[in-house]
Amino acid sequence: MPCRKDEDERAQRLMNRSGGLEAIFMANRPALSRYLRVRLRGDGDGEDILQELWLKLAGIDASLIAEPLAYLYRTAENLVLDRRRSAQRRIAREQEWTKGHIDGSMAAPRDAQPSAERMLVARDQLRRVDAVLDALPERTAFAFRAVRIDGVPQKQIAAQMGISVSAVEKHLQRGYRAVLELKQQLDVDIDAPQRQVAEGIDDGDR
Amino acid sequence: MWISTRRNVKWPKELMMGTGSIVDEAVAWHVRLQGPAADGALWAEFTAWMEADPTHADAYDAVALADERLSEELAETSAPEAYEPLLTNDNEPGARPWYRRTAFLSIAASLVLALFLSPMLFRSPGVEVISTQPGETREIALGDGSTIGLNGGTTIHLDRKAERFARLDSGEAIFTIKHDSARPFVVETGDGTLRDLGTIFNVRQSVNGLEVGVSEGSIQYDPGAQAVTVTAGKQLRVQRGKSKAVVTAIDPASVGGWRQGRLSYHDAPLTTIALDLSRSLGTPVTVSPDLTSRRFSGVIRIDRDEAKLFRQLESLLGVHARHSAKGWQLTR
Repeated sequence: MPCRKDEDERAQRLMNRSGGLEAIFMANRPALSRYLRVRLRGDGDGEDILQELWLKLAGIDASLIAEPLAYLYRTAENLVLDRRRSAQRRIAREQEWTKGHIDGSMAAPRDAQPSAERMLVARDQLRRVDAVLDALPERTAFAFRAVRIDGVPQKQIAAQMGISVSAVEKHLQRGYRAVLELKQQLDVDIDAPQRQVAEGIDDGDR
Repeated sequence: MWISTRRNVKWPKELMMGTGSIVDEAVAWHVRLQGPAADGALWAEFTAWMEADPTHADAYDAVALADERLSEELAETSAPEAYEPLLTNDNEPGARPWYRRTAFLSIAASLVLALFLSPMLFRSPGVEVISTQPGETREIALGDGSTIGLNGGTTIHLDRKAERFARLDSGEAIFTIKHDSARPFVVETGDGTLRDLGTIFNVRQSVNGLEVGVSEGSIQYDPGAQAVTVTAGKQLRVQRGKSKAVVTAIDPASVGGWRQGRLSYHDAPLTTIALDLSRSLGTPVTVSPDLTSRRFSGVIRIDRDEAKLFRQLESLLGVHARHSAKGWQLTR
């Protein structure tokens, strides 16, 4: 791969000079590659994501980052999620298109939805999340909202609640578990009417 | 129609509901990787966990996607932010803040928060949280020419829509406020509200209570019938849980001395000093239980060379300083 050679040369130059994020990337490339390989679960070897990650590093001031290697892993993970999401959207669009042909009515792809409508949908989803959180013990819901919604660091919420970070982790785990179950439940609920649609029982052109 | 995008998420059967200890493990990893302990070694450990069994990676993928969807929903409902958050020095890549807020859930959050820490600011979409790590300081310039200096380990809330307002959640900050009698600057804390009357003042908020030192002008504590006015050269102390505010004299030049690496004390418990040192150094400093009643008056000059600093502190405070992986401990 020609870019790889350029990468190596560039990394060498950087390491000789100062050793920023790019040098950390090069030093940990095998570990990042190993992470991506297992994280992608057979969907490619992650080399394309590593390339993308490498390109993102230019222009980032490493001195602003407390844990540069963790930052690299996190950025790689975000790229994986981006890819997972766009794959989902593509499948959705294709299914939409097929369904349009079966129904004889072309449905608008999700991307073309008016943003106001998307916002209402998201609001509805969040309302459900909110209800699920309300059903949790008060301190669990508090920790989850503070950390996940308001972005308060775990350490700080631990100090505020007068408990250890690992106790905060326990609260967060319960919160995530509840949200995960909600999302899975919603998918099951949603799956059923969709199958009916495929069988031709539609309530008209939405 | 929107609903149709959801249907192509196929949850692996073993990941549906149930107690599923693999799911619990995946959730635990998800939480830890976003926490303060997330370093390269933790990510490598996580890699090994995923490699151990293919269902591990599947479980994690489900958890991460569910959470990603929550992020999307939060982004979808939050007002477009023209204002970049100022926090950069943390574990999270700046490119995609995972802490995106929404007016909707935040309001719910602050209602719960209010139960824990009243009085509490009711959050609005313009509210921005700014935090510093221990050992890190930051200067914030406000639109009206006022400035706020944040000491390490501090969290403050600012409201874009209410320029003359700040809430100090924890830590220490020095306020240099451009006075405007028509629009007084208000600082909310967990132990009461401060209103400036043309001022430079330093505020420390901890679980023990509130401490405000004024170096220029004056401030009002808890404006209202019970208002206490604190003028330059005075310090106000409010112990948490006690309603009485105590005002004592201080050297106005010592206010906000942490910015020059100078910590001034008058009859302060060693625990307070340890907290300040942790904040300034970014290294935890603790006090052994038999020293908690010991008090100190004087000035400590922070030396970035910790070994040297603690040698000096040993003679200054009459204690022994021990260094370990957990930081510094002061003992008898």
